[in-house]
Amino acid sequence: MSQAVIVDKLSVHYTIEQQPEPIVALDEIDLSVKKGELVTIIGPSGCGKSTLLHTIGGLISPTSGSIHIDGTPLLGPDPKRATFVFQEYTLLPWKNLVENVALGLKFAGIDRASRTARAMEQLKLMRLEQYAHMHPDQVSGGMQQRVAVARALAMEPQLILMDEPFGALDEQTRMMIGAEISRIFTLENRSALFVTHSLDEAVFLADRVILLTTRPGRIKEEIIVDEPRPRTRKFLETRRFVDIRSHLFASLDVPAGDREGADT
Amino acid sequence: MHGGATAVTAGWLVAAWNSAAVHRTTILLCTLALWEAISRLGVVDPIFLPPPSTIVLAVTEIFDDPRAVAAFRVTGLELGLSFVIAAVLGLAIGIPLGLNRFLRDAFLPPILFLLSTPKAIFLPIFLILFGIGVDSKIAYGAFSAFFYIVDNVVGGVGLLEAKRRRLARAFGAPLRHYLVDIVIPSALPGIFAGMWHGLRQALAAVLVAELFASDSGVGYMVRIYTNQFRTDKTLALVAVVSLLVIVAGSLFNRLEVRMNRWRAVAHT
Repeated sequence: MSQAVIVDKLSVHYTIEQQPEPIVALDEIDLSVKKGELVTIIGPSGCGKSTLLHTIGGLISPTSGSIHIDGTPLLGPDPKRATFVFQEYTLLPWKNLVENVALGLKFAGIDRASRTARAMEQLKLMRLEQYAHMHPDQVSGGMQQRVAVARALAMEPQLILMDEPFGALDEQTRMMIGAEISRIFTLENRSALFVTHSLDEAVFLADRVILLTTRPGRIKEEIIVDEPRPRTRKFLETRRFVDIRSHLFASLDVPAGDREGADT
Repeated sequence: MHGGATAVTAGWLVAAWNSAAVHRTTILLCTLALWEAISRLGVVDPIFLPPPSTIVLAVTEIFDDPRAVAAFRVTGLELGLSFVIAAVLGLAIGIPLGLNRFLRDAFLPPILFLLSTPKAIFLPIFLILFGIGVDSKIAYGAFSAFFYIVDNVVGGVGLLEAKRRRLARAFGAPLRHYLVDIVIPSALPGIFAGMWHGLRQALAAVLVAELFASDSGVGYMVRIYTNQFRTDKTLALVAVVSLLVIVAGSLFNRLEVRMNRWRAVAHT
């Protein structure tokens, strides 16, 4: 399998006022995602997992290191190569769902008829076509985030970058959408980097889980989840799932007081 | 039977008593009746304060006066042009100021300073620069409206959330699409407030300029009629202008509701 993205010695340093030493958010991160692979990134809050994702997508300029997508360096946002699904609800409330899905295509200069057709295809894939002409405020948060995934898929990018997209949803909805994502990404052979703070989500979705440490953000461990995709909820009850999950939980090394929140 | 009829009447009265519109109309009619009475009974001189019935007659009279009809046309033209100039400049300057913090810090303070300065003291300068014709009214109207429009547009653009800017960047929005699909829709409440304030300011400015020095327009006709002690015709002009403003206001409201339909959707 060829590589969709290669990240080489990526570092991001911040300077803030009244503090002479720069903060090392990410320290020489090496990672790659193969074509069709779904890699989840997990780590304690503040470990820089969102920063990593935003940097790989070109929204933050790295202090050093490089990002290559499909063999060419990425120097800034390029939605045809790497497309985001953000954590907050970012659908435009003044556009209906199909217009929202077509947004990136519109920005790319694709005419109305073809972008609407492509957006409708994506909505169908998400089984949301009957809501195409509704506005975001008329549908649930879970549906809004599925539309945001459709908006990213419509760009047919080399890599999809998902920044805790279902973090605001309840566990039930989140697992349901997770199964949906697993189905579609497998069907469409999509490559994705998926940041999450939920252990269940990380293991359930991933071909590979990357565990980050806190400041400086470094890769602590990589775990292969050797289970065929698409996965159904039955996988959650298997021995293998439970073993990987508890291994990750131990590796996270969360201070005792925070353990409650670590896997929700 | 009798008791039932009373109940129906009482019910109707209660409904009327609870209706704000009924109260408003009653007060209005009482005021007009009182005004009619004091004017007709000679409590005040009808020359200075003619009764409402006379003013209604005067409205039909002024529409027979070709000078008055022409005056409305001139004032309408001045108002329209001054508003369009102010709106175009207000958006062209307000949107960049709203989007860019540096530009805002540099240029918004003088605009806010001029916003709070009474514009009337600039009127003589406009008359010197542009003469007493239509040009000075348009320029002065646009000048007066501009600051209100800019201020509200800047405020409206300020409503743009950081997540939407980031979305535009991540999805590679070209400037034109960024403005049309993201910035302007989210700034619409400010833009509408600015346009409405601007329109009212432009109208006030044009009328004041015509009253001050002019040879045409509604303000000029007010001057002519008051010089002739035709208070009835003057008040007829006032009534017609007020009516036009009310109609414009309700049309404007409808447009705003229409343009902001997605916002209304959110609440149903």
